[in-house]
Amino acid sequence: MWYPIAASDDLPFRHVYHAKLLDQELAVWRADDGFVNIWQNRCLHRGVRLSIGINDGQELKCQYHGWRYANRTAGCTYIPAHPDKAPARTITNRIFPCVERYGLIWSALETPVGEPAGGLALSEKPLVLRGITVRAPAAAVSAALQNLDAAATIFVQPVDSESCVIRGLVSPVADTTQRMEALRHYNDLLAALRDSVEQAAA
Amino acid sequence: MVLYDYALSANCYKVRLLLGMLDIPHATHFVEIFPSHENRAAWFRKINPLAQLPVLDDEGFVLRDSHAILTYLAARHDASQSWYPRDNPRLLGEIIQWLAFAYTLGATAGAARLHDSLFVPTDIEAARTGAHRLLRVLDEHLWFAEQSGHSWLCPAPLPTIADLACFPPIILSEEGGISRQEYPAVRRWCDRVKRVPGFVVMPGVFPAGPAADF
Repeated sequence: MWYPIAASDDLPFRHVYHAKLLDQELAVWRADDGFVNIWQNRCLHRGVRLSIGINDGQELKCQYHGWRYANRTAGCTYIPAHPDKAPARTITNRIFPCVERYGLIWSALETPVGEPAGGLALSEKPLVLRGITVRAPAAAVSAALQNLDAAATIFVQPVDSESCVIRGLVSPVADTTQRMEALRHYNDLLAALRDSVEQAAA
Repeated sequence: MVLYDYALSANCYKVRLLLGMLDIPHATHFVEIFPSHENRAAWFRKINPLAQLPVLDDEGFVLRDSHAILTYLAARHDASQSWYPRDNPRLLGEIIQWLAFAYTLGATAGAARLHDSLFVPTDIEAARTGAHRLLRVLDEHLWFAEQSGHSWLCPAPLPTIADLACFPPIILSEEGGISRQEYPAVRRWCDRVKRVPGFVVMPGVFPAGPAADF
């Protein structure tokens, strides 16, 4: 099953996004050619998080000893301690599935079946709401969302057993002022839901 | 100009950042806090009776408190007047508001870091909980700022001293066991601060990659 793990806007130029899906930490980065990489958040050398690494547009470089990994393949391209040797092809980071659609980045831990958002009739360019992290299990949040009276399509990203992210889409709004009002409105609505779920879970 | 400075101090780092970004020539007088507590020595208490760092000495004008020093340096040495825009009352109000927020970050995220790294006693769970409460507020603020076309804490085209006051306790938060994974807008803002020309690192702070190849 596909889960949204970020908004497209979460991946600006030369940034590395730090995500977590079903207890798996992910380093997510967009290369200069637009390709979105979703990798295990761990350098194969010493295990340092790649989410603190450097996205140079073509490669992701680990901050610790400078190992570099290529866009698309996640293959190690350079090991500074061995400048004259090409790294073995087996030194390749773990890649997770990725689809960018409806203004969201979708992934899964196993090879997912079907399409993201499973056949819902959605605008291709919707207004993407701010992701709201809730410190409560995804099941509890999904249950609370059943009572939400809103014209939004809502997805829940399970982060780990204790938290999740509410990610919502609504119809596009052209007018800037109205767009900001809509974003505020849904943010306040979902934040209130977050607060009540967290209070109940505490 | 002399900065009395301790390498591992987040408050000293605020001042080092502005000195770097404004490219102000200065000398540094290192004062060790841990483990020798040189800051408590009689000679230093004559300079700052509170025994705290940083302290700035600008040709005999002695100023303590990182935010006071940021204000003074920006007002005195920033010809562009962008770091502390003296003639913009609303912006000044917002800057002071975020300077106060930076103190609360220091009292929570900062205290958690000092607890874990320099063994300073504190209620560690309360410190971490308090830090997460603040980071949640900050992430929402920065996300809406981005949506409104703003990159910085205050709605100005360039960063202000508010950004530099908040940055150190945030970028060092993981040393106090406070992850920033839940705060993507805060993480993007950290990248932007790191890309300000003149940015300097400190132990525990990594540089960002270049925003583009020039």
